[in-house]
This record gives sequence, C-alpha cells and structure tokens, in this order.
Amino acid sequence: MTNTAPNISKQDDVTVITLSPTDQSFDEEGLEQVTRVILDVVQTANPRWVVIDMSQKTFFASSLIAVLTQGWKQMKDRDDGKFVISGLTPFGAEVISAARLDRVWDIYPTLDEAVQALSSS
Amino acid sequence: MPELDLLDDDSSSSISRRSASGDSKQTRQPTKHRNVLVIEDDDVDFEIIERSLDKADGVSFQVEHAVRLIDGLNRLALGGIHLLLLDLGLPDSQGLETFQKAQAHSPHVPIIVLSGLDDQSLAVQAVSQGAMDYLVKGKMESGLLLRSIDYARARHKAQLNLTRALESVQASEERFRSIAESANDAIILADDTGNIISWNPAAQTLFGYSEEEVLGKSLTTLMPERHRQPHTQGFERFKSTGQATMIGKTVEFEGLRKDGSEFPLELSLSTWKAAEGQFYCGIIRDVTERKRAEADRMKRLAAERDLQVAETEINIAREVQESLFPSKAPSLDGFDIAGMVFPAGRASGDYFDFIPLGEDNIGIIVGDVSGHGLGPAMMMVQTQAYLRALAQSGDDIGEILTDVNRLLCANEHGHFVSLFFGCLEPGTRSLIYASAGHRSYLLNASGEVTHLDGTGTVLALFEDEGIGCAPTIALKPGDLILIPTDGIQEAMSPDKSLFGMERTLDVIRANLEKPANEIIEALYHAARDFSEGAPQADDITAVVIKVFDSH
Repeated sequence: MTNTAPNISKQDDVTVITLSPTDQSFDEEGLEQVTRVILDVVQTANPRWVVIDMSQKTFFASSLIAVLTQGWKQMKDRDDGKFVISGLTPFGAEVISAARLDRVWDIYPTLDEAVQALSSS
Repeated sequence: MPELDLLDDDSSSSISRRSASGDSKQTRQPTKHRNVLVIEDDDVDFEIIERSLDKADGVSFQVEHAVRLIDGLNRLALGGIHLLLLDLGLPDSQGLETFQKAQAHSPHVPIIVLSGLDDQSLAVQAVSQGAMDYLVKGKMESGLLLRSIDYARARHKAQLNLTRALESVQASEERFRSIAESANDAIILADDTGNIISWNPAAQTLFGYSEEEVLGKSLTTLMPERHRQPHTQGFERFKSTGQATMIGKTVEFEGLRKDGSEFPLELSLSTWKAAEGQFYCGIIRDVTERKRAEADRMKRLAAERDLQVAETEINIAREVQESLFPSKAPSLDGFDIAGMVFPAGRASGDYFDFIPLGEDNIGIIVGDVSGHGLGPAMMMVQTQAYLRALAQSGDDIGEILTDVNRLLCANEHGHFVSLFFGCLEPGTRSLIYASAGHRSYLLNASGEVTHLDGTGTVLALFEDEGIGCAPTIALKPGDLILIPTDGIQEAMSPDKSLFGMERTLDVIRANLEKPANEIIEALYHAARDFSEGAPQADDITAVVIKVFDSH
C-alpha cells in the first residue's frame, strides 16, 4: 500500500488536514510523518484554526489518538487556537468515544460544518 | 624504410665484383658494398668519379650511371642504392630543382650534390635543404670524394638517429595526449614554479576551468584556502631538500571548483626532472560518489546496529512484561476467572493483572498503552508499578486511577493508557469498576450485553482528569464479564474489514458454557482465523470472569 501523506488545504481562514486512508499511521514511520505534519500545522497555521478531517479513516491505531491529543494540547495552550475533528467514521467515533475523548474535543459530523463553525466563531 | 640502413650495410662478401671501370678483382678481406648511383651528363666527370671510387680501401663501390634525371629516378625506384651523386645541371633538369626532385623521390637516400664552379651557391642551398655534402667538379680529387662519402654517411646516420628519436618522442607525446584526452581522471602537469602547464578535458569537467583559463595559474587555484599554505611549504621543501611526503603516493583531500564549491578528491602525484627543470604530474579523481557510498554504508551499519540494540532491548522489555503478568488467576468460590495475553511480534503495552484489595476483594486490571515498542512497554511497567503501590494504601479505585493518571502525566510519554480497574467483591457478589477510556462488556446468561463504559478519559493525557467509579454491579449466576484490549476487535481481514465487537460478542455467546480460559482462547483463534494468516498486528489480551452460584 502506498504511504500517502496527509493533505493540507485552506478553506476560508481554516487550515484543513485531511488524513489519508493510506497514511500507514499504525507504522512508526507513517505515524512520524503524520505527527510531523499535524504539529507543523499547529505551529504555523494562521489564524490558528485547524480541522482534522478523518472522513477517510475507516481504521486507525490508537497511536493516532495520542498524536491528535498532542496537537489539540498545543493548540489549546495558544490564544485563540482551535483544533477540531470532523467526519469521524463509525470506527473512529467508537474509538474516540471509548477513550472518552468525545467529551474533550470538538467533533463535527462533516468538514463543512467544522469549517463553518470555526469561521463564524 | 629499408633504404635508410643501406649506408650501414656491413654485409661482407669475398666474391668478385664488377668495379666502376668494369674490371674484376679478388679480395681476401671482407669488404663493404656500397651501391652508388651517379647522375651526371658529363662522361668525363663520371669517369673521374668512377676512378676515384675505385681507389677506396675496404669499401667496394658498385657504380651505376645515369645521364638524365628521369633515368636516375627510375633506377632509384628499383631500390638498392646507398648513395646518390647528383649533378645539378642535367639535360632534363637544372639547378636546385634537380636536387629537390631527387630528394622528394627518394628521401631516404643520402645525396651528394655535384656542382660546377658557377653554381656553387646552388649547391650550398641544396646542403641547407638536406643534401649531405657538395663537391665542386674540377676540384674533385679521389680523397676528397671518399671523405665526402664518409662524411655523408656519418651525417646521414646522425640524421637517421635523430629522426628516429624525434619520431619516438612524437609517438610518446601522442600516446600521452591520447591517454590524457580520453582519461576519466583529471591529469594536470605543473612546472617547477608550481604553475599549470597541461590540463586535460577531465580536469576541465572536474574543476570547471577551461584550459585557457587555467594554464599558467598556480596549482593553489585548485585548492581550498586551508590547503594552500601547507601545499606551498611542502612544494618549497621538496625543491630545496628533495624530501617529499606526497610524491609517489595516493592521498585524499579536497579540491576547489571554479564555482567555489569543494569536493573530495584522490590525488596521485609524480615528478620528473628534465633539462628545463622539475615537472609534476597530478592524476586526480573525484571521489564524491565513493565517499557518499561509504557514508551510506556506515549509516546503514549504524542503523543495523541500532536496530539490533533496539530489538534486544525490546526483547528484554517483553521478557520483563511477561514476567509481570500473573502466573495464575485467582481462585474464588463462585467465580471462574482467566486472564491471557497473546503477544504480537514486538513489545507493546498490553497489560492485565489481578491484585488483592483488602483481605477479601480482588482487583481486576486490564490496560493498553497506545503505540508499540519500547516506550509503551516501559509505560505499561510503570503503570503497573503505580497501580500496585497505590492499591495497597487506597480503597477507592477511582481515586487510585486518578492518582495514577496524575503520576503518568508528570512525564511526557507521548502515549496514553486505556485502563479498566475493577474490584470484585466475592462476599457481596458485586463488581465496582473505574475505567479510563477502556470499554468492557457484561453478558448475562441469555447473552444480552451491557456496555461497561469508561468513567473517565484515558490516562496520561489530562493531568486534572478525575476518574470516578461506575455504580456497583450486582452479579448474577450466568453473568460473564469480558475485558478485552483492542487487539481482538482490530484484527483485520485481508479485505481490510475489522473483526469488531459484534463478532467478538458472538464468539463469547457461542462459547458461554466453556471455562473462562477456553473462551479467551476461542476469541484469540477466531480473531486470528479472521486475519487469515496475516501477521498479528497487536497484542491480544483479555480477562474473562464467569459468575456461578456460590456453594
């Protein structure tokens, strides 16, 4: 399977990181790549509004949750920083719910809703 | 060029020969034979010559005569003539042109020009153009002619040697030029001042300078600044003492290109002395690729060593982990308890434990650290140590997990732990649990499922997170509690489907009557069968508690 890096795009003032279904984030190398992309964007996004779009992630390892938490924490420590999740598949929703992170993170059903929420905030 | 050597023909013979005058005579001593062609239109002069030659000692001249130049040239074309005596004034050719034609026709036959008193200046010109000598007719004594022939012979021989030497040098130069032009290595020659005097195409490719740009420049032009002074000192030392550290050796250092960039090179340096002074030859090879390959190889070796070390460490961690799993499940009246772990190939953070809580109760723990490798494995060990220590002094399992979370958050692990901590009270036949994001399941005798959801978020992420306890669960005969890690549900089929929770629960339902340990084994095998032989991606761990009537 080809290792595909996350895609970074901009919608309005919101930076969107779309995680690829083939980012191999359950391998150390792939996870390192995903980590680097997410943390780089968290550091450089301007304004600091970031959506992690997980609509293509039908499966991921728990390590990815740790990476998302790192990004969320770093953004939380910044003024006006916003780090939200969108498009969780049933699997993703189950994993995040089981870990009880749905109580901590802002999660939107779709990317459009996430972008709209951040843009209008 | 067979004619070139005919003048030195030392072949000896004692046979009779026809002299120039037509007489025959016998000789007992070895004689040298010389075939002389005389092109002379004056019969008197020819006779004088013939007679003169006949007087020679130790040399037998076979004289042939032609009156016209064309006849002489035709004879020369037949070969075998050692010497040509040529009159410049002939019926069919006059003056210097006569010599020029003869020389052009037979350049390797030595020519002695015969001139009259009135054209002596022409004869001198002929000598300057290559004639061996000239003789003035009318003053031509026998001894003079023979001396002239001897002189011509010596001069011709010297010319022959010089020609050969020049041809040899020319061939050598051509060989060098051919090698230098086609060489892949830069070949640079320098004089005794250290200035460049020869620069081949490979040198241009390597350093970026054209021949015109670099000829006459110092060799230091091709070196980074830091090498220039040591080079100059070494150069001067060699010139003054003859002591060299690099001559005759192959050394490595850096070169400087025209664009200012440096590159690693290998230099073989030689020197030689000539009449013009000392010369130096450097053969230079760009070793950038070789250096890069060496660096890559060293990096690969280092990575392999690191990998070996990491694998060793992980194996040790795995052994430590496995030694921490309880060797047997607690035996309680009215309960069948089993805990099992089926490790994947590498260390990870799955964890289960049974610990005494107070005098009568049993703590049931199943945890899963995110990620794989040494870090999660060590974090699992750390978590177990915290739990065991805190469980000795605390009663509230929610508070214990809250404290464990705080302790784990004190270190930046980059991982988190989902963890179920239950307190099984045999006396009251009840279960109290706290769960840090670790989902578990209660099946009743009918196979109906109740999700035992988390009572707090996973550990090691949020320092201030408080983890409470779920309401006490009264256990009934036929109940089964399953506390798995995600290795079961996330077992993947070749078409990328997940084993999932529904299949997990179906396996439990199908095996409800079996002992707890066999139910876990059935789960493991079902998950592995689902993966159809794919390598196990994660540890598979589960604790199963079956509830019976107490006796």
